[in-house]
Amino acid sequence: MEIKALLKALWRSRTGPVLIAVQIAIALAVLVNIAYVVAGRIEVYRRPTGIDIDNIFWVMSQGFGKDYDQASAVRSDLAYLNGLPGVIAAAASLSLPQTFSGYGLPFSTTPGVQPARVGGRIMLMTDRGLDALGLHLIAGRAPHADATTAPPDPMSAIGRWAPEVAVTQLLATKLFPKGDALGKTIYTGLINKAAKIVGIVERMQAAPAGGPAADFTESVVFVPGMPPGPTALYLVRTQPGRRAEAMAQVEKSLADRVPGRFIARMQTLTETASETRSGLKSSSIILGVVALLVLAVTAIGIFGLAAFNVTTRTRQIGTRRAIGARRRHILRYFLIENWLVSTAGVLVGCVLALGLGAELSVMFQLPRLPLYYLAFGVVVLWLIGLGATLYPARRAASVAPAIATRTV
Amino acid sequence: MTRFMLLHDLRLALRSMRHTPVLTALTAGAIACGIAAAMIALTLYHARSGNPIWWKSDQLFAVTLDNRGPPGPQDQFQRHPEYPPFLVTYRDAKALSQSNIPTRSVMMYRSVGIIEPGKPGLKPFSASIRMTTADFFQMFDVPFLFGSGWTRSADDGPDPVIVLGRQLNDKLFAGANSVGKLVTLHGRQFRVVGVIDNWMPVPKFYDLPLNSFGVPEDLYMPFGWTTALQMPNAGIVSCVTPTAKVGSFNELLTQDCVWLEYWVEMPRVAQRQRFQTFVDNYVRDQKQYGRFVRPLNNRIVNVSTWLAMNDVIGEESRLQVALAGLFLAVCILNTLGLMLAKFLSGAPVTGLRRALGASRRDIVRQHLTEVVVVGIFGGLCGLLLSSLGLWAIRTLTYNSAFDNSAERLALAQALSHMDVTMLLLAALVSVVAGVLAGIYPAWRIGRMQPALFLKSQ
Amino acid sequence: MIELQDVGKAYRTDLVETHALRGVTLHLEPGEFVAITGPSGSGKTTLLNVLGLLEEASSGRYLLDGEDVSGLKDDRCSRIRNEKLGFVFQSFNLIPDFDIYDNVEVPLNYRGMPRAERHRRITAALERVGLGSRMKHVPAQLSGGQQQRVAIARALAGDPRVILADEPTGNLDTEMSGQIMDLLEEINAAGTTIVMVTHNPDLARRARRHIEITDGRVSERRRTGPQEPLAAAAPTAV
Repeated sequence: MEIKALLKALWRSRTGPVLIAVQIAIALAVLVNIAYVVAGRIEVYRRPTGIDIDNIFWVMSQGFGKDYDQASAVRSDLAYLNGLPGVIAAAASLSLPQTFSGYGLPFSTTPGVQPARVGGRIMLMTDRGLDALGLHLIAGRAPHADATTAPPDPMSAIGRWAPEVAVTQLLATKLFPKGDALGKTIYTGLINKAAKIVGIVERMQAAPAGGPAADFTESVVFVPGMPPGPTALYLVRTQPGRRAEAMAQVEKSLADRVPGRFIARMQTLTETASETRSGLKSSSIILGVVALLVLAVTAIGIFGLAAFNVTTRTRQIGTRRAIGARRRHILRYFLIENWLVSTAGVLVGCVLALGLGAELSVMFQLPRLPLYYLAFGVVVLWLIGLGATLYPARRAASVAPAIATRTV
Repeated sequence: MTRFMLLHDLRLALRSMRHTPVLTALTAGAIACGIAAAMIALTLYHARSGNPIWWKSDQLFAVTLDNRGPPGPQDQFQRHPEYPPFLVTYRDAKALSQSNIPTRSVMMYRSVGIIEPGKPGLKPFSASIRMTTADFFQMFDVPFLFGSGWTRSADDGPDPVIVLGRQLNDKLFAGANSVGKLVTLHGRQFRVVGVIDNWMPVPKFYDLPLNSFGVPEDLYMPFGWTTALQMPNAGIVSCVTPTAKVGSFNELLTQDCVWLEYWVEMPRVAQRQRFQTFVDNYVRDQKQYGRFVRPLNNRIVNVSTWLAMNDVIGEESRLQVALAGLFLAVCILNTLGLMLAKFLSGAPVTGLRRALGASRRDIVRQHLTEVVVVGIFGGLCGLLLSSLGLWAIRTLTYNSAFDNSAERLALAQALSHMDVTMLLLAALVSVVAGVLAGIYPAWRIGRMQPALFLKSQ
Repeated sequence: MIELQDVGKAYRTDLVETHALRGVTLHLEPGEFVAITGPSGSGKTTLLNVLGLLEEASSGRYLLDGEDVSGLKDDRCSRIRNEKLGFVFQSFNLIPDFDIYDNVEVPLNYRGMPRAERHRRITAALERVGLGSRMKHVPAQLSGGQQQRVAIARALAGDPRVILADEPTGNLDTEMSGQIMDLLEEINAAGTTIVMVTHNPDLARRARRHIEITDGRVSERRRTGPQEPLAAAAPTAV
């Protein structure tokens, strides 16, 4: 209606509006970038793992005596664990999934030294490993190896390798883009060994990661074998709802079955996964709180300026009413005035947001800030401006026309 | 006279604040939030930015050699492809230790082992071990509670001796002087020669590639046992050339796979130059065996440079400080706006005061005092808020049940603890915030002509 | 065209009931120039407010242009004020951050008038008051007299039937007061009814009718002879 006049008026006494616009600009930049970073973390948090986490627990056994024989201890323990009521499968593993510790190797499709190699995580497990993790085979079968003796240390365990392995589909596609990985041989120069791919697993997330890092942690090679002593890490998968019962049994009876060892630790995989993600979670919460606080402070500023304008302009409001403004005209006037300031603020804010976003992209190796985040931020700040101005604007609309003739 | 004026200004300020309680509360609240955010971010940053061995940090050097294979696409995954690997190979460590140029030198890594207490009621348990040569303790000024470290000849033996950390000593021997006592570790008996007092450098500068903010190991064992017992590596093993092969423990000792941390102590400048030459010559010499294919890139860096290279502070912390700064800026702007509004609405009274004899400077000073008081009040609330925030962060991030040892809790404390420096900084920030927010409004109101507001409207 | 029939206005507080207007009966023909005078607190501002639909009468009837406007809803009152009335205030009441073109435009915007028409009327009104060359100036750049002329232009732009002026020269010096009064007489001569509240008897003499109000009651002061009370009730002292 009188937008041009409003703009000119805002410019004439621009201190208040500029202060608010700058706050809005900063708030937009902060909000948009925090939203993007947090969304990225939530994505990592919620990526499908491929593992039946809520029905799995693990037990770590430490052998220490001179007579401790890893191979026979593992065989005996696995026989017991697989026989427990409610247990679907148990296997021994070299590394614990859903943690950042583990082993990785470079792989290629031809023997010899390759410059361009594909990296993958190793999951060295006894025969029922894929079942113990609840992984989904989409082609082929689980790999098998005759493992009668245990290697002396992890290096030797990996060095021993196995004639057949399974891989995740991600790794299979990276090595064999035509999709014909099944039956092919892969080589790893680091240990000078080869193996045939006999099975393809739909997906497995060895450790929670996002972006380019996920490429590595979700490329997994499953190697059948006996984990080295003296540590034996057992992964046990139960039927739904029977995990606690199985854990109680293990707590009671596993330790004494084999001499010269103690049970170091037992935990549900759910807790493990949650602990690994706890850093992500807490930093996201902190960022979220900061974003909310910034918005709250901005809203207070907008409200304050609007309230101030209403009280100082009481006579003006009365006059406008006297010369014909209806209540809704007054309401609209204040809301539009605020909207103009908000818009100036969000325009500058978009520039700031993109700048800050570019910095963050470089720092955290994230892809560039998508534009729809800006749209989201703009809408949020418009709404906050509207909400914060509403009460003062309504107070303004209720100013009586008779104020215009008052002499004080 | 000035003290009287200050009291008077304070009284006026407090009265004015009470007159608009909601506005004052909102303003103080906004400042409190801004200051809390800034203090939390700065405390976390400050904790990570320390140099825990500052008194000799430019005499201690980490040694890194660039034994990587030829440059290739795998380099893109590294943050800083221009840096050599942060760890060294076994054979290179052994070769470096042949030099007698440094006053002291140490090669070390992190391992694990099982301790059998042999006491009824205490089951065997797994302990973290730092495998290191003898110079470690004197090089890093490690404080001893009882006894001392072992001698260099004990490394060669290797002698069956160990040094315990204080927590482990408390667990095994109830904190008593255990020097001379025996501990069964990894199936053998070792004799305790020393017990370390509470020692937790933050950051753990000597073990950065693995764990910037970790707790020290439970015990220390002479490096010679690495080969004798094939003590497993619980840290990082990274094979940096395409031709490296590792299929057994022994290959770790011969292949181009890095897994050892190597530090030297060189108090005199002349030593450093000579040692650099020695290292470069060694590398050149190794090239004839097909190793070290890249151009010379051997970096011998002091602790500060080392901390920077490892980016200990981390971008996350820097981001937090930047965000907190922006937030504080918003809060200050907010306060500025609100105070400006309040002062301008109070213009009639101010006009009256001017007419009654207050000078422009009085008015400016009185209004500025009010904003600074609000700032300080907000700052105090902000301090409380930041303590709350830090406590929340501690519980959120360090709730790992893995090692609920006292040491881990102490580490969490150290990383988010506000020391005197921070408290003083908080006080300073709130006063500065108040001044920044108040200068313009106070000046504006001081500038007004009294007549403008004394006329009947 | 303005008819007040036994209009009263009372303010009720917890303690006391104040009658600002009592039994006011008034009849104004189109084209009249009426001055209303009275001491402080006599109710003259209240009378103007009631006439201007700024306040609602507590009792009695108000007929404006044949229409009974007593007890109308707020939106309707605003509409009538916008279309039929024009206001001139003692303190000018211009919007300080608007230039005078935009100031005069304000009531026309509320009428939803198309842009070309608004422009025509604004320029005409400003020319009429002699400020056509200063359309881009803000009020602070003008003298008191000029500001009041802008206010008059604002009141005129909508082609009102009545202009209600509340102490229009109260904040002006003698010379400017004279100019404003000349302007008002001109406007009246062109056919607009003017009702002016003033405490200055000299100014009141320039109007053609003179109504006195005391303690909420009105009486008319004739040019010649004693005044006649306009209310049917108790006579007032001279």
